[in-house]
Amino acid sequence: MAVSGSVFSLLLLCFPLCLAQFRSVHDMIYVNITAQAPCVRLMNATHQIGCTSAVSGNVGVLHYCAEQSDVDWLVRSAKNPPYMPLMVPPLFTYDNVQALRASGKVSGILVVNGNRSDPQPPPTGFSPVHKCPNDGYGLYKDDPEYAHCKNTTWNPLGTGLSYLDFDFPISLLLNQTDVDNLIDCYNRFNKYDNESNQQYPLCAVQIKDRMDGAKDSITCIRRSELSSQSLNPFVYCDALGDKNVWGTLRPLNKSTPLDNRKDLILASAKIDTWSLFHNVGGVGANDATGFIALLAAAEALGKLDQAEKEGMKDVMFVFFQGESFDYIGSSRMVYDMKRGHFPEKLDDKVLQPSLVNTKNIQYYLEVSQVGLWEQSGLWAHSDPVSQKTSAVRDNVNTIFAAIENATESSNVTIRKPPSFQALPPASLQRFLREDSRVAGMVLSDHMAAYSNDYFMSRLDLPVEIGMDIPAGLKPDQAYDYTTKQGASLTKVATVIARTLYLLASNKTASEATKIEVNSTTINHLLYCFLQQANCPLFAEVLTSKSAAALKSLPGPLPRYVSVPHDTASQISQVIANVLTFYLGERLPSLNKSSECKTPSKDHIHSYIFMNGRPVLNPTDNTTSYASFCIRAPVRFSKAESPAFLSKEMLHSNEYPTWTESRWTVINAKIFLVSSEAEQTITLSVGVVVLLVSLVLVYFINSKSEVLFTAPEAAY
Amino acid sequence: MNLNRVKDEDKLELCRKYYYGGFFALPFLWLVNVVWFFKQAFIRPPFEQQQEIKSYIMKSLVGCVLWTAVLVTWMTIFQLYRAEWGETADRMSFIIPKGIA
Amino acid sequence: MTVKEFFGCTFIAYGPAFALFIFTIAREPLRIIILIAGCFFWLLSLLFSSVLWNIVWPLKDQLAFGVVFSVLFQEVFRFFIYKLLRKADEGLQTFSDEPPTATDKHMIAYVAGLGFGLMSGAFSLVNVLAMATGPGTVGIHGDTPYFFLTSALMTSCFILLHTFWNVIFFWGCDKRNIPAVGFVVGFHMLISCLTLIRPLQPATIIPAYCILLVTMAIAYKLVGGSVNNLTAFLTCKRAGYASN
Repeated sequence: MAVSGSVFSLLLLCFPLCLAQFRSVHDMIYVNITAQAPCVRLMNATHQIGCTSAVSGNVGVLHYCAEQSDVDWLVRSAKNPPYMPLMVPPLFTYDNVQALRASGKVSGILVVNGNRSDPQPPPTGFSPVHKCPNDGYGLYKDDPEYAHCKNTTWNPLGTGLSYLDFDFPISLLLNQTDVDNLIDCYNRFNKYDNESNQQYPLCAVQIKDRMDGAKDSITCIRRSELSSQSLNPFVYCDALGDKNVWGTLRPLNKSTPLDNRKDLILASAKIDTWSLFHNVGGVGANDATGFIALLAAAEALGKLDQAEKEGMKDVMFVFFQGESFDYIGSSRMVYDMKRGHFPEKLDDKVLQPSLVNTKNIQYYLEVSQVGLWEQSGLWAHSDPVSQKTSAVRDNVNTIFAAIENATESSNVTIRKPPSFQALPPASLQRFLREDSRVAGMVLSDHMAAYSNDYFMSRLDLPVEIGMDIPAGLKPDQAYDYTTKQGASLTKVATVIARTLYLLASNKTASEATKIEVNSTTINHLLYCFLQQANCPLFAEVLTSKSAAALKSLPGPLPRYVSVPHDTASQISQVIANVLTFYLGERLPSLNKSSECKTPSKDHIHSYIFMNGRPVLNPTDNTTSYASFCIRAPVRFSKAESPAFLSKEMLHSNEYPTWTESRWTVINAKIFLVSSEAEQTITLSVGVVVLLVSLVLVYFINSKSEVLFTAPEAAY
Repeated sequence: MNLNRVKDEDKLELCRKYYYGGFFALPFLWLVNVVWFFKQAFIRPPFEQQQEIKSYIMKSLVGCVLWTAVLVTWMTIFQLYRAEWGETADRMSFIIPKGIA
Repeated sequence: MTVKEFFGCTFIAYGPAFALFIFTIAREPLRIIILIAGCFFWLLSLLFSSVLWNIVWPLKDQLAFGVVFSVLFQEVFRFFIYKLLRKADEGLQTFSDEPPTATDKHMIAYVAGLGFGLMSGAFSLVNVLAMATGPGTVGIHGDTPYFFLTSALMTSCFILLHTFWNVIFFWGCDKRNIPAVGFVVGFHMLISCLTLIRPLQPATIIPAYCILLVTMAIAYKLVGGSVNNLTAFLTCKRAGYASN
């Protein structure tokens, strides 16, 4: 009884003491970082670029760099390497990163993502690509006058940060809670005194993002192939690529082949963009203005009636993928065209478009970055080398005349840069490289150096190009809101549409004024591509399955080209559907999704059963969708570099050779680290305890007769 | 096997078998030979077969040392130059490391 | 890099038990068998505790509930192994090379207790040790940074305590001495509830080791030791068999 009483009293005693919470040891030590966009390793034929961590991750003591003095402290006075600086956007510059790398004290870098509406970029701009983008793979590869941007530096703010090879990870923190956790941890544990001493335990971060590919594309492709024949096949890297989207105003049919006639007007823009950090969405805003303007122009032309379209030359709209990586999409298209494989090899059994060759292109109009044209006007670039041929020069002049006519009634100024100036980096360069008789012009918002201070970076945000949507607006209102960019891009899109109309038909400038691009279209496209993919336009033009998936998207779709899959990437799919919506004809007779499928023998059209607008049923308050079937001559074409088709081509230096390394884990955690001294003390104490116990027990055991006298009384 | 319960002639036979066995690219067999019969060959007071066992042990030791030298040299060279050799090294390797050249 | 901490904590926690095992148990096959039996019975008690914890799912988050019943189950199984070993006494004697002596009973109790303690120590620390190999140490949420060290010391304490408790318990059961048994159960419960004070405060080490010393003294007394023996042992060591 006494025992049970004492036990129960002990129980009563211990319950108030039991502040036990059920937490695992792991949760006591680590705080996970929830969302990050790492800098990954890419390779081309000769180099590897990007970042990687060690196999077991990189650990560094956290250091919050809010001012330049913090970065300087780290480089000069910090005493407990390795460190992992957390940098705010104004400080993440080429110079700082190089200084940190050179100091040898840094085992990784974390970058705060910042507010999309107030990004606080470095005051001098930030462009991590080269000053001469896509050098060596364009038209002027060996040209004595124009190679390596001798004539004009297109991206003077370019630092080449993205093309460096780092042996530590650099990661962008996407979630503000993670940043808050880090700053809080830093403030509690990592303060330093006047002699730069810091007291352990210190707050530290571990980043794990080990990249499997290494050295260069040739090596990693070879290794992947070698290992595919072994027992454990392992792929080290994948070639970058996706699908180009192209569509024509009128369907091309091989029954009326183009042969070698110059019957086609080709209008192109690039879809993709790249930032140092992997797959970030909603960046490259100025880059996006090109294809958005072209899509809107396609809509305007698509509204023309059939008779008019029959009387015009055909206009082909092409949206290239992978252009940021030495022109993957356009080089593949030109390669296919040269070999008679574009759009596809002729096959008697199916209905196909006619073969298209570079010879069929009468006029080529490319829309490059056009978001900032109001700073210095719209410019139309052309290639001086090919214009030495008079036929080409005449055609280029025709294009320019059409553009001038198109700008007549609008207040868009169009000018040509000096005639000795080369073409800026553009897909047109690849066409001219193979066929110098292509007459083309590139529309852009800069005469020489880019107007974009944040070319190819995560800081090329909508707010930088004047998408000034007020903060408090609800999504529906923001969707329709006419921003400054919206107004200005509408004008450019109208010019493009009218130019194409004038080039395709033989109408006069005043007749072209009936072509107008609707500002609502531009507003919607800008909102959907740059602010929020879950928008009414996408929900209308995608299939019902894709539209349902849209709802779970937190922001805009990323436009990094990534690696090929069986189907096109999300962004290419969306652009294809939007283009179909603008160029296509509805088929009211097919009103079920099972009926509205592209027939297997029809390789000319795409049939899409679009989800349509939501219709609220007033009687029972359910939402149904006004789905419809639409078909248009819009198809995908492969945007994978021809270099990977054979070994000779991979070594030939003719085509882009970009690959992306594979990886298995990407994660990061925050925790405290103890000092080396403390760890050594723990180890020494352990060893001492072990030795002392061994000695003690040995002696106790050998002298056990002395220590333990046997009890004389038996029991 | 407890060598204490084995007759001397059988010991010699065993030593000889291990010695010949090592020639089939089995240097570890030689090492075992040396370690196992060391006491018999050098520490035990002389007996009839000791000379022969001694000679086998010495020869096994020489062979073992040679093999070790060759293997260590090759391993060092491979580890140092694998990255430089590029394709040749990849074709030689069974497991190609990830993430490094 | 805190592999150092891992080895340090492993040695602290399992050093004394390892020493005891090497010198007193490793060469005697019979004692190894009894040790394994002790381990097994502790595992059984853990099994039953887990089953209970799973069944009573509303109280799953209440560590106190789990701890209290785990202690009770451990004591119950301590009693079971006592019964088993006493029953098997005769059978074990036929295997042993030496004639039976009175100290055998205590030896069996000690070995079984060490087995009990080793298994308990293994389960309580292995999870923590696995975390110790990672780069981080405890503390970001405000817990004590000495968590690993404290856990290792407590584990070591517990292993030794289980050993001594077993000796006392078996003696108490033999002599029908209920206070002895009650002492074991009561102090086991007390120390286990001390460990509930999370975060594991380093301060709980001191009462734990005090109780360890007291228990060690009691067990020593029961097994036939006395202060005289102790002084004889110590002086013998120092003088090198000068006095006997």
